[in-house]
Parts: sequence; C-alpha cells; structure tokens
Amino acid sequence: MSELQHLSPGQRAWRRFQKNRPAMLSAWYLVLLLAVIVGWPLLLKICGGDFARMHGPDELSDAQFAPPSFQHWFGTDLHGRDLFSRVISGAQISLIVGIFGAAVSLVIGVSWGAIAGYAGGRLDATLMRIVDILYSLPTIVFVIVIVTTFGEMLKQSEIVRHSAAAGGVLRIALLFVGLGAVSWLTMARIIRGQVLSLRSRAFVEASRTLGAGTPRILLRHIIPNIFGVAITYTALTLPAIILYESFLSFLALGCSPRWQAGAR
Amino acid sequence: MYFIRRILFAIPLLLVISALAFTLVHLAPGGPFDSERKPASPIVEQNIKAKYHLDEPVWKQYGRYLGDLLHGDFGASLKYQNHSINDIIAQGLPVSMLLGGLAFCIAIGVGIPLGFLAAVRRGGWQDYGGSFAALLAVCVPSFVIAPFLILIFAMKLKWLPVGLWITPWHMVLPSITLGAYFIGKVARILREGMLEAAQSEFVTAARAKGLGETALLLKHALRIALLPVVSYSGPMLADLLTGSFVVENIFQIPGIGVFLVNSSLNLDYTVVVSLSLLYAILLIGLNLAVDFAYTLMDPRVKYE
Repeated sequence: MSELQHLSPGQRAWRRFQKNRPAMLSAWYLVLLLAVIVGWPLLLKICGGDFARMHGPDELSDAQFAPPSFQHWFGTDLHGRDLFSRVISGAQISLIVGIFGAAVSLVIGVSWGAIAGYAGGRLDATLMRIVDILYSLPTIVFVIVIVTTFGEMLKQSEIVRHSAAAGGVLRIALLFVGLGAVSWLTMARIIRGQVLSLRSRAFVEASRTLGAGTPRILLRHIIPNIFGVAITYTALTLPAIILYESFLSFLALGCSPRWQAGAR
Repeated sequence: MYFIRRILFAIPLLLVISALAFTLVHLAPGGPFDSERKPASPIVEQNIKAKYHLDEPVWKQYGRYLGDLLHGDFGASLKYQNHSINDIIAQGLPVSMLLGGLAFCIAIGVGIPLGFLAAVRRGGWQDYGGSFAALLAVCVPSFVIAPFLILIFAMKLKWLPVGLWITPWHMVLPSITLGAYFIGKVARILREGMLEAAQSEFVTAARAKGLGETALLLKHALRIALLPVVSYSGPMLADLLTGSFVVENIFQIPGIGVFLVNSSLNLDYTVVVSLSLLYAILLIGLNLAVDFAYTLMDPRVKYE
C-alpha cells in the first residue's frame, strides 16, 4: 500500500496491465506483427539484388500459382508474385487506414459528443439530430460518394500529375477521411451519454463552485473520465474500419499496391 | 402518445434525409451518362438531359422528385433504361428481404445459444471456444467466407448449388455467409449482457430465495441480457433487409443491394435517393419497434 501511494494513476494502470497475462500476450503479439510489417520491406530494401527481385510485392516471375515453399512462404499468385510480400504490403495499408481512420473518428466523435453532452439544451438537440440523420443514410452511399468525389478531384489536381507517389499517399489519406467520417457517429452517442451523467456528479459541481471555467472542467474532469470508454470503443472501431476498407477494395475503390507504384 | 409523436417526427426526418442524399449525389462530379459512348452531338446530349430534367436546377429536380413520390412513384432510373424504380424495388426487395430475414434467423438462432453458453461456462473451454468462434465470424469478411463455403459444400461435396436464387437449397449458403458476421456480434453482445446480469441484485435476490440455477439463468438473467441484443437487432435488421452487395454479387442473387452500390458508383441519382429513403424508413421503423419492444420486456423502461 505504501508503495502504491507514490505511483500516478497511469503507472498503477501499467502495473495492472503487466499482471494481466492475456493482455500482455496480446500486446507482444501486436508488437511482433508490427515489427514484421515494418521490418519486411526494410529487409527487402537492405538486401536488394536477387532477394528483392524474388520477393518484392510487385516483382513478376514465371512461377505461377506455386504452392507454399521455403522460398515463397505463402506461395505465389497468378502473376508469380510472392504472396507473403503482398500480404505484408496490404497489411501496411490496412493498418495505416485503420489507425488514422480510428483517430479521425475518435477526434470528431469525442469532441462532438462532449460538446453536445456538456452544453445540453438546444445545441445538444441540434447536434444529436444531425447524428440521427447521418445514421439513417446508408453508410455505403456516403462513403462511395465521398471517395469518388475527392478521388476525381485528386486525379485532376496538380500534385498527382507531377508525382505519382504523392497521389498514392493522398489516396490513402482520402480513404481514412472517408471511413473516419462515417464511423464517428456511434462514438459521439456513447460519449454524449457519458458526459451527460458526469456533468451532474459531485466532483464536477465542486470544481465549478471553486470557480473553474468550462474549458478547465472539460479538460481536467470530463475528458479524463471518458477516456476509458473512448479507448475501448476506438479499439472496436479500428478493426471495423479495416474490414470496411477491404470491402471498398472489393469494389475497386480501395487502395492497390499498383496505385501506390504509380499507375494512373 | 410518445410513439405517436415519434412517428410524426419521422416525416420531417425523412424529408431532410432525402434532401441530403439528393444534394450529396448531385455534388459528386460527373453524371450518370458520363460512361456512355460520347453522344453524336451536343444536341443529343442536351436532349437526354432534358428528358430526365437534369438541365433544371437541383432544387427544382428535388421538388419534382418529391411530387412524384407523393403519387407513390419513385421515378425512372437514369441508368437502367426503361426501368422504373418501382419495378426495381418490386423485383429486388422481396429477394433481399427473404435473404436478410433468413440471415437474421441464423444470427439470432446461433448467436444467442453461443453467447449464452459462453457466459454460463465462463472461463471453461465452451467460453474460449465460443468467444473464438464469435471473433472469427466477426473478423473474416464475407467475400472470404463465401468462396470457402462454395468450395466445400458446392464444389467438393456437391450438396448445395453454387449460386443463383431458385429453390430453398439455393438460399442456404448465402444466408449463412450473410449471417456469419452477425452471429459473432450477437454472441458477444449476449455474453456481455449475461455476465452483467449475473452480477445484478435481482439475480442475487432470486438466488437467495433458493431458485435453481437453470431457472435463474433462463428466466431472470437471460431476460435482461436480451435487451442489448434487441436494441442491436433494429439497425442489424435494417442492414440485412436492404441487401448485401457482396453476398448478392458472389451468389448472383437478384437483390436490391447490388443496385444500391452500383447506382452510387454510376451516380444514378434517383435510384440512390430512393434506396437511401427506403433504408431510412426501415431503420426508423425498426428502431421504433425496438423501443416499443423494450417497454414490453423491461417494465422499468418508461417513455414520456
């Protein structure tokens, strides 16, 4: 007990996390996965030469549909490309889109929900009606229109004409803006509910009586308390966004390595 | 009274949704006729546009659309020529609704026992096995499940047809594919609900009174644990009934989901708006039904 008193809440949480075996196992698994995803392309670049020619995600060869072997761990595809490399390069895009999409939804959702819940009254009603309306629109229509609209603008923009690589990056950015834009709705609802119940709690009242302004109450008392819920829901949003991105790729609206490589 | 007010409130909501969908598709660059062969002359193009009133300002087109809607006419499709949207809906919606309804039954019929078992045997192999199966069902996209099922049950075992929508046998694989994701979702939600209900005071009270464990779980805990599943099933059913692009595409099913995606891609303005409206009507109606069911299932819930 005496030892615990010196620890901040963050440190205590970290201790608790370390004691939880499944949590630590998952954490190590994620770190390993991340290492492979980031490390594999680096390895290809460092080794270069024959190794890169054999395993590069866009390198064609005569070995069509080869079964998994020592050289090609996952086998090869129609064009004789190494499937392991292709899975890794796909995972990169999925991960980037997932993380940034979830971040977009976190930022919009938390601020929207917190403002609605804290302000209350007419502003609350307006903000939540907007959420209701967007909810009732089929997500797929929204995403397709956003992605095609901005995609068309991208194609005509100067930057993409000059540099194909910038086009690839912008295309991914477009994906996570589009996916983030449709996935913040549930987050906003959850956060609003939380803020609504926190607003009238004793410690918030106490802080207000002591003369704290709205920004201080929001930052010091409300946001830290909804952090847990927000993180939990973000963890659920991330895989949902990755799944959605795969669905967009199925519609040929996603992001292919070829796009990155610069074919227009 | 509360529900009558909600129904009345749905009307302006639907108006706003249709207006939003209308502006959204019109804001997108290009038009429904862009992918056609270049017309012989600007005059031909002008005539095509005039035929569908695309040369008028957007607000006027919207007014015309609403006027037709009042007469029960969704208008004509711009892309599927000589097909009215009423035809498309009349042909596609029953198919999609049947498919979605079957998938819903599978999701509920498998998901609830799975979640129940996992919660009751918490920490046992049933829990880990069930939770793993649920996680798998949620994570694997349907365009991976479908080829797998086809490969096993249609190609190798030859028990079921590969695709199309003719006899009840044709409905088995698509319904399973569509339902799989929701099986996982329902199972997880129910498991959480059961674990929470098992800790609540009324369960402890019932146990203290000497109620058997089976009756306790089935009669008291399950009843409360079902509430989150019920509230999830509203949006879930709306999603399922309006069709799924992937499943309809892979199994070659003439449903409405393919139309929704294709017409959004083609900017078939009227079809997108009509199908969005259909989805919104279903969603609002089902959410209303869910809230109504809540009042029946949980006497503590009251609306005013």
